[in-house]
Amino acid sequence: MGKNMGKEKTYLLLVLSVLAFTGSYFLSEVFPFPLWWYYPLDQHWEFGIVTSKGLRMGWYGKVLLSAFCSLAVALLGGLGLKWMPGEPPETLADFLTLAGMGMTLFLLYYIVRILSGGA
Amino acid sequence: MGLIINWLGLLLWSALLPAILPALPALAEGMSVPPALFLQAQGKFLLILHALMAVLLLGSLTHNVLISVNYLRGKFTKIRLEKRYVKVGFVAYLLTFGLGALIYPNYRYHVRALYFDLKMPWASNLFDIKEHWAGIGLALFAAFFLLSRTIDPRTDRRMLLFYVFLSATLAGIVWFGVIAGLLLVSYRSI
Repeated sequence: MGKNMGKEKTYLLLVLSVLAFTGSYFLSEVFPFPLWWYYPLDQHWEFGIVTSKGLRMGWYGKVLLSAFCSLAVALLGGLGLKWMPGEPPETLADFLTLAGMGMTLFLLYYIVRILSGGA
Repeated sequence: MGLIINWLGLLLWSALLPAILPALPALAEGMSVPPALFLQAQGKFLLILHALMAVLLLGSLTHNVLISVNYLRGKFTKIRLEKRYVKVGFVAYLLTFGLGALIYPNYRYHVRALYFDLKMPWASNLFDIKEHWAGIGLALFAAFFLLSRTIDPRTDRRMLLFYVFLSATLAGIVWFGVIAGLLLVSYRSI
């Protein structure tokens, strides 16, 4: 990474991928998303929004979904930046940096809030 | 006398058997056979490895953040060491995360479903916070590792804020995870 692309572009892609990961993680907490669910007692997986009843775990699917969104955004962003002449504008990088940091802190806080009964 | 007692016993059994036999399948069904979970037998060994990797991770990230914070004050004396901590930390994070994910089904049933959810719901929630934060930390660490390979703190000043932010946030996530993990294990473990 970074050999065929300028440092600024690589940086922008990394910030974008963090933003995509935290954003999709938050959205999957708020809205019902189709996820991979693991059933530990039966040791099997199911995909969907509404799946079978029983003891099930959605965390694996949530991390996978967010990682997929992050990679997809980084890939699309990479293709977009490849054809962009010169370095990306500094204001765009600054804006995305602030958005990435803000979204990360908000997500960490949001998780504590809903799990401590604050929502 | 003994013969009479034997006969009485036989009579009693013959009277009870017709009542007991139809109930046997139901009794067998009601008996709780503990379910076999993924890597249940190796649970404790994997938990110890998970804890050891977490110690390595905590040490490397704490050292990393102490050095990288100095970048914001214009001190660039230990760049190579700082980047080495990122590499060690990233490997330790992947191992800690992977081992935690492997023992998670065992915890989910034997600790959470059978104990925490019934008696200590706050402990279930504390674990969930740790679990979510660890998942988010995985993406942050991947970005941090790649940025560490790209950035030169002496010249790329505009990227430093995000770099130090990632370092400090990851250190916070790991410190929280270790403390929460130790607290939870002190109540109930796999």
